[in-house]
Amino acid sequence: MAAFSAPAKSGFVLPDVDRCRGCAICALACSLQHEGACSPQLARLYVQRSLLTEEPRLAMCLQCDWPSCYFACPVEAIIIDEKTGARVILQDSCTGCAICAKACAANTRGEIIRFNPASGKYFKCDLCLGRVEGPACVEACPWGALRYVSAVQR
Amino acid sequence: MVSQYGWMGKILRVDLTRRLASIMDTSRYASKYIGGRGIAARIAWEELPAGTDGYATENRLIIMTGPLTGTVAPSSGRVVFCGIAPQAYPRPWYTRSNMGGFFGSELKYAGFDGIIVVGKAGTPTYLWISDDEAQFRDADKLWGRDTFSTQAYLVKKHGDGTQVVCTGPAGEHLVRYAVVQSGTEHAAGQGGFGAVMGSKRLKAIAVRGSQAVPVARAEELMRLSNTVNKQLHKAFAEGAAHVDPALVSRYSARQRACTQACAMGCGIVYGNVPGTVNPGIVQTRVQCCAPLFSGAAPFYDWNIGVEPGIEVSALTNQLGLNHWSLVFGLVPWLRECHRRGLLKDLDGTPIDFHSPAFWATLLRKIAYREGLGDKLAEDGPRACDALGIGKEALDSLYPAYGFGGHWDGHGDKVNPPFFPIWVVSALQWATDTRDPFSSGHDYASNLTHWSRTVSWEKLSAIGERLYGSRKSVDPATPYEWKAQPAIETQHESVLKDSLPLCDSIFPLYYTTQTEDNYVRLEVPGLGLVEGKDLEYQLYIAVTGHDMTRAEFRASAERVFNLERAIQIREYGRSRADDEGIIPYFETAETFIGPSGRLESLDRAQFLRLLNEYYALRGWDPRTGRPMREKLEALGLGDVAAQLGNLIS
Repeated sequence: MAAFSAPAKSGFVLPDVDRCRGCAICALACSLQHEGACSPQLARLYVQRSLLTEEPRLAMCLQCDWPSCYFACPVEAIIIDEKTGARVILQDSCTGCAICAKACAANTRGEIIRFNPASGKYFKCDLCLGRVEGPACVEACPWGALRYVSAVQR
Repeated sequence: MVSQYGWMGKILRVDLTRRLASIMDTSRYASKYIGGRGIAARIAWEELPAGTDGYATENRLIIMTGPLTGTVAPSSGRVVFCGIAPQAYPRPWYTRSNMGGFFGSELKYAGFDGIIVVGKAGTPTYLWISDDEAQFRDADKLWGRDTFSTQAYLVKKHGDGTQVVCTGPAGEHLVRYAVVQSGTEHAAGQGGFGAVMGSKRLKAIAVRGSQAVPVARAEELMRLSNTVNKQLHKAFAEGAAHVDPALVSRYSARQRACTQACAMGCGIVYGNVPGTVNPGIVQTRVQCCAPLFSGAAPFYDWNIGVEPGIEVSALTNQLGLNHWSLVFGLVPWLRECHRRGLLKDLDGTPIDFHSPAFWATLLRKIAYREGLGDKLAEDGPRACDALGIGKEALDSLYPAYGFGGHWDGHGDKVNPPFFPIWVVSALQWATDTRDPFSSGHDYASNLTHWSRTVSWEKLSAIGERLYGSRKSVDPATPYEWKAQPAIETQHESVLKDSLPLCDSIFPLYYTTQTEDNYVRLEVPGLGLVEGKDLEYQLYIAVTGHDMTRAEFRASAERVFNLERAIQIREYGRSRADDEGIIPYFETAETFIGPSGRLESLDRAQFLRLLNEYYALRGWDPRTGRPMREKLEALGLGDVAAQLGNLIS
């Protein structure tokens, strides 16, 4: 494993829950981008509306400067994307051991590093890797509730 | 796993009598009947025994999503409820009702495209559905609860993210216009399907799922949706009412999407409004006709104020009563009966629509069938028969089939279309099974709205593009070329209820963004997509079907004809029934249009128009029934054969 020095900084998607209307378009665009299918449970971000109050809750990976998940992975399945700096779980290498999910301090509800029961692997926001238009969720949100902040801006 | 894009592949069949659940293959219906309302119609044709009453054990509550439900397609998270509707008058009959909310999409994530509920539970029951599994659960702790508390209970029990449809006290007491409720303001209102749930002792269906809806052309769907959403967002920013800043701070008012994947914010959610009638805090969504409970001039002669209006609206939803039936049917009828001295009081309580407390009393009496409420729970037409009063007022408020006026320029005051726009509404009403405006607003609503800012010249040009002639829109030719837009609007309605998509958004024809005010969207990879092609493109992107535009439109026509066939087989529907709407439209319209005077329907002209309509549909103008060749051409040969000598 690499020495414990901070990896290159990453861009990240900054949610603004005050602008969110709870339509879940971001989550559906995300799963469509990554899985070719629509499912909030397979989205790399988490959006949930309370049934009666309709208050939305958003959770997503902020691509930490000091990424505990990255350091914790015992099989080096988490890499730093060269282009965006995103902390990316390589699906081929992930063993589903859950150590990254437990290492992340923000992931107490399992909404940021999520588990795919079908594949037995964990997944998280990868900033859509090389997508030319930037992250799919940011492009799709009709309300500007998601903003992409680059590694330089953060 | 899944063989067809857009679908989870199975429809859940639930027999409440025997507590048995089984699975049906969606693919049996998917390619021919689109989804939602279309598939439900086919199931009804195959399964609903003749002469079934709304409260009969044999009645089905058919709950269907469409191929787009649960995907990112704009406003697609909807679900339709079909079956024998107790509200229909003079006899309960097969019709439909739909809702937004988030139940439909969650049902698909749980692995089911729809639910067919049959039978009757011995004791109150609710269904708990999660990932390919359905369980019958005892609802003894839920029976008697209002809809908000029922949902709160189920969310607490089954966890955050659980979506619920349920019925309230009104449904339990078989009020003929009881709704199926989800959230605080999503409801399948018209038809009384909440009472069907009540009669089956099915209190609620709770669902939670983690699966994915497969999409054939992911990138194309994403681009289409993003483009449409940008367009909607511009329109929304331009035109829609924004939340009053005073309400935001005072009552935590927020605009929220009313269904999965909708880029609009039509509804306002109030976080904390002080109760006037009942002490406490009211927390509810308000949209569609709900603000009308507040009343106020010029449309209403009652005015109970904003806060009590919100409270009464929420109370109606908690009890599980249909907003529309109350505000556009029963209440105006009661007001007229009171004004004419036919009805003095409500079991001793003075009738006073200015009083929030009176509203609360009225709603409670109806929902629990107390005193006079027992008659009013039967809705206007049956209450009128039972009490023997106010027939004249009733006929001016209810066009047909037991449903109150809706976007047709007549009836009570909030009915804005003017002559000749409502001539098309009249044709829609004549040939439907309920009020057509759950998904048929398009022509009437769009033209009423857009004629305020766009010239008739330009609108007529769009009319030519959509319906084949400028006469379809031009006010100078009121009775010419109106059957075409009526048919087109009915087919659009089928598509919206089947794909499904929201009636407030689709079809997306008019815009301020182009020179001629017609919608054309530049979609990366697809080029310029016309407003009238959006539904087709969304359908193709999700399902990947190899289907032409003409075949897609023919599917809508097939569904409409199948629904007509159910009407003919079960109820002997004929031209005489269709003409039953004429007297309502022969009264003076509500608002003056371009002609400069109050108009009413010309019977002779309308009968001629009806001939034209039948001819265009391939229906026999004498009987108003589809010709055998027409049904066969639509791939409904088996339906034609079953109808035998009922058709020619």
